[in-house]
Amino acid sequence: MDKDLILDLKNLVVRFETEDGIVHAVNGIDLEIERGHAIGLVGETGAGKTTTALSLLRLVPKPPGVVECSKMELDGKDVLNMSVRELEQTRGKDISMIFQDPMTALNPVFSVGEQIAEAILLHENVSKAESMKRAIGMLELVGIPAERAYDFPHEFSGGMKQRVVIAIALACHPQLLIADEPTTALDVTIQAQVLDLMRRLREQYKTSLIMITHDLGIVAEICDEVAVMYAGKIIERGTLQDVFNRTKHPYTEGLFNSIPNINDRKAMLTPIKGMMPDPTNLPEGCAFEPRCPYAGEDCKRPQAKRDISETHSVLCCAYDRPGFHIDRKERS
Amino acid sequence: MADVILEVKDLKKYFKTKSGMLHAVDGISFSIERGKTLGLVGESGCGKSTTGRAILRLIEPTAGQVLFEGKDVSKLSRHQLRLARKDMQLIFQDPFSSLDPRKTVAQLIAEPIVVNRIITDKKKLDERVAELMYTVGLAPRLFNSYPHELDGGRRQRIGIARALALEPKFIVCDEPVSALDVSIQAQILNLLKELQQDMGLTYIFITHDLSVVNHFSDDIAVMYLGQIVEKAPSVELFDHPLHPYTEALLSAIPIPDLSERRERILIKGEITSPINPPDECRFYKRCNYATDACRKNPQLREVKPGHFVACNRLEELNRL
Repeated sequence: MDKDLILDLKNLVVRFETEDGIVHAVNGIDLEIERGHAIGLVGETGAGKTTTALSLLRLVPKPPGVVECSKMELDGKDVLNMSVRELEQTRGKDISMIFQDPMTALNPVFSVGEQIAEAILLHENVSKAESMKRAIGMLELVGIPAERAYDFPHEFSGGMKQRVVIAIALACHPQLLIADEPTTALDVTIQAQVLDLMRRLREQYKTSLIMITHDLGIVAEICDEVAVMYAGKIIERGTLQDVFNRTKHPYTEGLFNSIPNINDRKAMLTPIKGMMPDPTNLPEGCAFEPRCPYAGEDCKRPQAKRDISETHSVLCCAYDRPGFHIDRKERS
Repeated sequence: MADVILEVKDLKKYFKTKSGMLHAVDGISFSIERGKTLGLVGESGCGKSTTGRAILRLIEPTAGQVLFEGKDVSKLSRHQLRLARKDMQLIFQDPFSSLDPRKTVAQLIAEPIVVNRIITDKKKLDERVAELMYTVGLAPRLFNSYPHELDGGRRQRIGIARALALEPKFIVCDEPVSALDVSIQAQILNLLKELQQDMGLTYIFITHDLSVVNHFSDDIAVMYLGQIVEKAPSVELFDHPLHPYTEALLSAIPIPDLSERRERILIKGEITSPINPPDECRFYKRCNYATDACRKNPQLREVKPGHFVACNRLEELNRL
């Protein structure tokens, strides 16, 4: 039986053609997401996470951006060849996005209630009064009292603003929600409140979710699956169990070793040596090869995806070597 | 007797605002032993950075004493302060805005040495800069580079080299790794730890990231709205948090480990206003255990050896 895919993305390539050279931001990504699933897109600054998300909304600025792919289907609809009108109907309705910085995502001259109502008015055939009523309902859903609907963004704190942004994103019950570092700008106790809210709303509406983050802790809390990105490629993909407990890619291992372990404070951190390669000048082979402790001659040629199991795949040719394994222990 | 390098007594810093006095730091006291690290944690607006700056007198404290090796920093004249600052340095959070963009790496690192007229000979100065670059792990080829050519990790290394240039005894690290990616963050944390071991440095490590502070500090002080609510050795604080705020803060950390699913304690609401705070427990409005007993401001008191807590209901809640 075919899987019920909410997103089917094949071979996405995004590059920015600038005066200083071509920035290869995304270099061939396949991303399939089953309806109702939550996938964490993990990686460091410059890995291409946000660019991938923006391509799904067709929000990559052009020029200098060039987006190519062989397939980009959202709930069976071809996003890449949509007309502007179709796109407008899709954005905010079928797919919506929560941006990282709630301080700049809201319009300062409209009340928060109006901003939520705007999304509803745009996509649904309702009266203005009805849309405001629903906007107030959404506010209460995200834990903001109804009487604050007519307040303006500057009257809210960061955590409250992010709740408003979430309310806007969910106002039309999208099929797919993209959350780009939704809690990075927030304090931990507020982050805990917002994550808790997102988890409850996701259960309630059965929304599929792409969670973009650099924090593996957040992924462990909210996602079912993980895709680890490095230099514009997904280098490891699997369920939470696959990636956290049966780690296969040396970069993923490096990420885990870089995080201070709360239970073992004496352990020295094992950082990944060096830095991410220049995206205008990527190596032909594995982009992680210059930093990889397991690198060999075979890593200098282009890598092919390797399936470890039904759910788990990795982009690393070292597994061609007989008996190769990374140091991180498998756990059950 | 313990060799105390820094002692802070009832330090206060108020800012005058239109709507009243903002109590940024409101009567905090602690001491640090030589060669140790005190982690100062808390969320935005809790006064941790203000504390760091008031200790170095980069801002004038409103009241209180800061004793550095027995001398009261808050009473030093400008000239004496300048001399004292050689021993006390600061590493800033943002390596992107804390460096003069028109100076080269070498000029940036040499600046504190030149300003304080430690080395006047050009050749010796270059040697010292090269030595400092080696110490913090900056390649010699970067000698004449400008900060904009470097990534965040390298810039933070410049900031560290500048702080080390005068061979200080004590460094306030204000969120030194918050702007960096995890793999780079680990490099900088390891560097700071090595430097501490080699040079016997004492740190105040200011951060909002609890897993980092746990990894790094000997003692941790948790701040909330300008006051220390709990202070204990790191292991003790993480294993037996006694203050309701510390407990919630610790449980809020997302842990990247699937075998460890904990019950999360959510606290309601958000940090209350630091402007003219009422004389009650600062955490009163958000605390899950608050009663009328909390309507007076609790004192920080030692409840177990080395473990200080400011909570009125501690005994009642039977947390000890």
